[in-house]
Amino acid sequence: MIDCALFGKQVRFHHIGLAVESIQALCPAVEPFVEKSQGVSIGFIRLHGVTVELLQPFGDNSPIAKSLRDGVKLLHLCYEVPDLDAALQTCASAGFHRLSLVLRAPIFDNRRFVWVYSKQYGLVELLEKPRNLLQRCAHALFASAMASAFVKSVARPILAVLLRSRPTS
Amino acid sequence: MEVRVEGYAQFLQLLYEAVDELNQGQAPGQTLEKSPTTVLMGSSGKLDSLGFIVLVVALEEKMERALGRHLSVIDSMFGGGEKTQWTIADLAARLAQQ
Repeated sequence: MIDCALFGKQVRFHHIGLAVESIQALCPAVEPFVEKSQGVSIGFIRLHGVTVELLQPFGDNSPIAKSLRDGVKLLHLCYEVPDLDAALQTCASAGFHRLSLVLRAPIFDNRRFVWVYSKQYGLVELLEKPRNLLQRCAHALFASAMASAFVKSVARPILAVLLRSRPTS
Repeated sequence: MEVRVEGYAQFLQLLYEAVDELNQGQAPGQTLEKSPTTVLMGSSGKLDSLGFIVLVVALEEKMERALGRHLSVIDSMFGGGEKTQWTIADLAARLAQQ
C-alpha cells in the first residue's frame, strides 16, 4: 500500500461527515446543535472506532437537503493537521482548491479549520490540532464527552439487557 | 472601485468557460445562463453547493492556465466584506481588481 501524504506530516484522520434525515431518529441519545450559518444541525457519534459527524438539514436552503435528495450520504473526510497553513500549501500542489476562508470551529474548541476540494478526492475538511493549553483541555473534554455519549447510548443499554437476561438464583 | 476593462473582459470570458464546464454536469433545467446578470450566489441564485464547488474549481484551473498564477475565488468573494449576492459580472469585476 502506498502512503499518500496529501496534507503533510503528522496528519491523522479525525471524522467522516454523514448526511442524515434526522439525528434524533438515528440516535436519540445525541443532542444536536444548530450551525445556522451552514444550514445544518450537527451531532457526533462513534461508529466502531470512527467518529462520525451527523449532518441534518436545517432551514430551507440547507446544502445537506440536496445531498439527501440525490442519495449522497457520505459528504466529507476530516483530517487533523498540525499546521493548517502548511497543509493548505501542500495539498494545493496535489490539486486541492480552497473552498472557504480559514474559519474557527466552536464545536472543536474554536480551532482553525478550512474546506478544500479536489476532483479526485472530493470534499475534505482540514482541522488544526490544538495549539495551546486551553484548546488541548477543551479537546480532552470533547473526547470525554464522546466516551460518555458512547456509554449512554451503547454500553449502558447493552449492560441493562445483559443484567436482565442473567438467571436469578 | 477601479476595474480595468481588458481584465474584466478576460475574466468574464473565463467565467463563461467555467459555466460551460459546469453545465455539462448539470441536470436539464439546472444549467446556468452565460450572462453578466446571472446570480452565482444569493437568494435568487439556482446554483447549489456542489455546483458552486464545481464552478470554483473550474474557474481557478482556467485562471491558472490563462494567467500563469493562482487566484483564489474564495478570497475574492469572501475576503473583503459581507456581500451576500454575487453575479457573474460582480465576480469578474472583483477578479479584475486583484
